Amino acid sequence: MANDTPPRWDRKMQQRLARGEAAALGELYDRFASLVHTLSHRVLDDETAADRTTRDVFGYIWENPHTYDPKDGPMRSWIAGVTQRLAAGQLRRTHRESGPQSPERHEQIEEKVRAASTAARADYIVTSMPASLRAALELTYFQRRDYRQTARQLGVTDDEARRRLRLGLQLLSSAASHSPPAQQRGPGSHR
Amino acid sequence: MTGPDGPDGRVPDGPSGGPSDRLPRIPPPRSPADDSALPGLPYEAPEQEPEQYDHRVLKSLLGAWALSACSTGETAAIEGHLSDCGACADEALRLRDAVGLLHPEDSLDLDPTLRSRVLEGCMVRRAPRVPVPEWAAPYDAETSRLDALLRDMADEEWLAPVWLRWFDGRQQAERETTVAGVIAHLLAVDGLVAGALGLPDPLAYDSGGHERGGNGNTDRAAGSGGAPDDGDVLRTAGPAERTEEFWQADCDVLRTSGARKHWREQGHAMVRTASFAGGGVGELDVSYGGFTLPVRDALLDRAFECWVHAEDIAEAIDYPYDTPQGAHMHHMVDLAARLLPGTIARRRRRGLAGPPQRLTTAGTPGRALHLEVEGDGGGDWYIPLDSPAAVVRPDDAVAHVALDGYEFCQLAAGHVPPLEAAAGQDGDREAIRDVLFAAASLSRM
Repeated sequence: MANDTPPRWDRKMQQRLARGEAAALGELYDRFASLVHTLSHRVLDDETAADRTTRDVFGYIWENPHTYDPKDGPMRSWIAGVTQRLAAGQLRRTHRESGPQSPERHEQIEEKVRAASTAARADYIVTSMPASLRAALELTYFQRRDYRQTARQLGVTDDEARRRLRLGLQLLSSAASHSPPAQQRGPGSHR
Repeated sequence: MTGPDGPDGRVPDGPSGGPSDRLPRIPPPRSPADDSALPGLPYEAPEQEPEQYDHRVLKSLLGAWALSACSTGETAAIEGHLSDCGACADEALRLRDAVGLLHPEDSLDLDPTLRSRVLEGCMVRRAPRVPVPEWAAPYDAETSRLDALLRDMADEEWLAPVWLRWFDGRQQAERETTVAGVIAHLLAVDGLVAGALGLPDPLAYDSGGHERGGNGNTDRAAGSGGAPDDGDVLRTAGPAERTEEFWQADCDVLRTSGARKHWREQGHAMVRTASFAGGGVGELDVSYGGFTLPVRDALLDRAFECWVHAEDIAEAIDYPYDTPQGAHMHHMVDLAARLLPGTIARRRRRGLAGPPQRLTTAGTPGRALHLEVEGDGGGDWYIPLDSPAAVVRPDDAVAHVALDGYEFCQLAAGHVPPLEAAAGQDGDREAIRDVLFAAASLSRM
């Protein structure tokens, strides 16, 4: 699941990119390429288009590392935001180019953009939720433990495991409840 | 029913719940992503008392229910309760939808060629002030590919047995380890290049320094790569000795993913140091014990090893793995071709290869073998047979060997016996034999 980077890593990465260090860009790609590609694919639903947006996103970051402000939150969510913006732009452009569109088609496109930004918010929430909640969700969902096994594995009571699973999902469900896209602000945000 | 927090006593057992069918029937939760079995965690029998759950307990179970992580009895009790309790039913729906937002975000398999396309595109948009040297690019790409394979591996897969195979000069050899052990091996041998670049030796942290008794243990943790006699034993040890020592010094390294982070960080530091150091650093010597390679070739050798062992790992966990991109593979084949004359000479000194047919002095022409490697990354090489220092031209070829790029790499990795290398052969048989055996002898653990 989400693979967070500590603030110090984010700051150093930004400095290295700003200095024009190509090796840093490779490291950044290894860390975030699948996030960028997944989010793009969710909007564009096309492998080639997602590849192209991935190229655009890293190109934008490489040319504009200063537009990231570490005070605004983790680099990961900044990158998710850039991806959302570029992928949505790409989707709208593709549709404009394919000729006049009906209001229904237009609404379909916007719906896709909204669903994708919900997914981006969800990603941010999972990334920034307390590690104890994330670990409980990972064990039950991805490793298919039941909550008692999860409790034992985490060394907590059954009650506590139930609480963490419920709270984790409650936080996550807030991703779906507000629809304006752009900058996500999740419960883990410190500002 | 009472409000969300009020205790309300018992609920009917099972989903058939009474007259109140006004709420929509909630479908059962979706099943989790991973279907794999759970080693070591026996299935737990459902609780025996299905009627003991009150509203408060049922509510606390909603998260676990949405994730299909309750016992059968609990699941039945919750689903019964949902048709009676509007507040819980609302929450259950919300939580179940939230489960749909959980995605194994980073498990997507990206097209491995996308990385270089993206990075190259970026370099065109803004020229790097500190580029990655061309000779470091294959290592950068191969380590990145292997790391992507490791990223989503389950704990038990780190224990999967892996057979390392090579050709020891006379015959096939093999050594069993684990996926984790392979990464430790890569970390230990990459450390030879790291050391030459002035980076800390990874073995100096982990081996407790017992072979370097008089050298002042306290400094070692700081990784004093520059001290002249520090770690002499390890510096002069070859890849196999270093690996065995590392495996023995830290048993966890064979069982856990612990070495991955160190291997990755060391790799990043190597690429970064090579980038900042500029051209000259590529010519520094890296000692492999019995021989040396300049840093630029050593990094290429490490890229090749990384690919070969990534394939070993992929095979062990039954996962597909691609070949390197053509340009990188060409560099790897070229390195092997350049190392062949010296290897033939060494084998000759050990009585493993036929004597030179022509006595040549440095710079004079000698016999050659035309090595034709086909496919993406291939090319034509003319291998001097009589002396590494001989100058050869296409006209000097006394034999011709043609094989596919992947086959050649398998040969050079020691994965196929030299005489079974499916090669198109033509000309002097002893020359062909010497070259095929020398190619296989390039391999090591």
